[in-house]
Amino acid sequence: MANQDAILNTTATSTMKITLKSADDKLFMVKEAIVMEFGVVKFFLENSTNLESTAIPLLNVSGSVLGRVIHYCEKSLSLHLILPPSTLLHLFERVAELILDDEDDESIVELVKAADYLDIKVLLAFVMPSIRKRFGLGDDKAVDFVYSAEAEEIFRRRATPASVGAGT
Amino acid sequence: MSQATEPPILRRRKNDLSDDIVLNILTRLPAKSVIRFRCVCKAWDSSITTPYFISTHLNNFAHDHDNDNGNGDGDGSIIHMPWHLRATKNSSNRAVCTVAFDLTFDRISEVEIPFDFPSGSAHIVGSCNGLLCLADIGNLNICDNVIYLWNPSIRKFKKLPDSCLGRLGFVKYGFAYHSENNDYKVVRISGYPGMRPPIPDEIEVYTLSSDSWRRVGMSLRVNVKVLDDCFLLPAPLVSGALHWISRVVEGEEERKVELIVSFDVNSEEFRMLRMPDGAMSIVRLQTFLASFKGKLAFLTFGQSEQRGGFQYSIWVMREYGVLESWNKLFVVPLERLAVCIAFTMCGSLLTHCLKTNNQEQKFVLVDTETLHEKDFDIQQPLCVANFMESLALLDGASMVSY
Repeated sequence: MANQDAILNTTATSTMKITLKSADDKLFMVKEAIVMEFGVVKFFLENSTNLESTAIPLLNVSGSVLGRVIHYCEKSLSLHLILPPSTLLHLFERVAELILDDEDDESIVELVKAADYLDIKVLLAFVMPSIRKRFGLGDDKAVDFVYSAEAEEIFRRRATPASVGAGT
Repeated sequence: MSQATEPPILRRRKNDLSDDIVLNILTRLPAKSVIRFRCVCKAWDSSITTPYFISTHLNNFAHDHDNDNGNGDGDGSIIHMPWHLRATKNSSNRAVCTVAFDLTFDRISEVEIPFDFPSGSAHIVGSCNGLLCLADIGNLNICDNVIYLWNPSIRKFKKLPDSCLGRLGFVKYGFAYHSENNDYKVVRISGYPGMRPPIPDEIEVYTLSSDSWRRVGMSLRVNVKVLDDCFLLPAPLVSGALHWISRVVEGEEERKVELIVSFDVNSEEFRMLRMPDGAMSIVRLQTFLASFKGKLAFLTFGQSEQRGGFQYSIWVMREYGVLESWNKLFVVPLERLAVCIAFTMCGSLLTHCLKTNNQEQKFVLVDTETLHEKDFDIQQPLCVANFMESLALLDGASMVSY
């Protein structure tokens, strides 16, 4: 169970941290186990030595987004433990919604695009149900829908004050 | 005068006990025995089903379970129910709860659950005076948010009417005994995340005496959202109030702070309590509230203060409402990553050690005072609540007998 081992490694003996650098040159020291969830970085990690001294650059992601990505990655890993989606899927999704309630529309879309770019499956599984619920998207809509013109239209409509009460 | 035989008259002999003494004795007998004695005679049946008898009986037994003076010597009992009922049906195809000792979790007896839940999974919202409140784990449809009140000792239950809100979001519950009115209340808090502009939680209260739900406002000035890491644990009832962990947006900078929100069962007012100092700064995976020997307890699970390993930290509020009285009573070290399933009133901690690539899952019961651990042989997580046999709602209207 990759996720559980991730959190096990996160909090137990391995305290190795890896440095990530955002597009605007902000540095983040992150536990190795969390970084291993980042698909784009994983290949790099598996094939490099002397990781503690290098800062891995993530060119498309700003510091503010990267900070939130790391934060929600940790939250989603621990939520997997408390409310395993294999048995309590809808509770898991609703709690994820509650946790993500802090994000406004624009920032949650930013988050999902970053999760997609960085190939973080765990984070996508955590955020996508909330995106679908919040914007009234069907279950068949995957992350690529978020980039479509149709999606842009939905976000725009929600953002205008006239649409209070619309949305979900 | 006729010498015709008169019908025999049952006369009380001089040394028979008076009614008062007989009833006094009956109020000290276990609930199951008292139920059987209803068929002895009409006088007994009508006396047993009076509110006065029921509350006297309750007071006699509640004292034995009264842990307020710290006498948690583990002779109380608990009832536990698996989360996924469909997986555990017995030979009569009914799901089963188990009654056990609260310190050791040693099994005492089993009780069949006489009703079903739409989603096949339910949790124990709370337990007061031997009356249990069970709710469906809940789903997206309002009609799936089914709640039952159930007294297994007298074999009666009642399904609650539907919500008075137009819609339900993500729900959290609380169940309480309203001692001033000898009544029972169920609180339902419904949250709607993702709405823009954000809307506050909607709250409704069910009162057994009126058999109806009614909206309740939260007069706190700040924007409170009830948020809890453990949706399947009951909200503790301490000092006449129910408690949940919440996120509050306060101040002009709109800082988000986590606090304890309490609902006074009598006045129906909400108040806020701060967490213990330093509790929220440690790296933690799980945070929740419980009742320990009648006091409010705050528990966190996270990294151990030493290198490697994990620990549960348990604070207890010695004097209700006094923030300085938060006292870090226990630190329970654990080697494996675990999720807490229950923390009983006498301080037994039931943990679910999670399956990893190298190790199977297991359930471990820890005594927080002695740190003694023992494996507990169950296959899936449970809901746990304190339990006692009682006659609660024997005189209740619209209860279903089975």
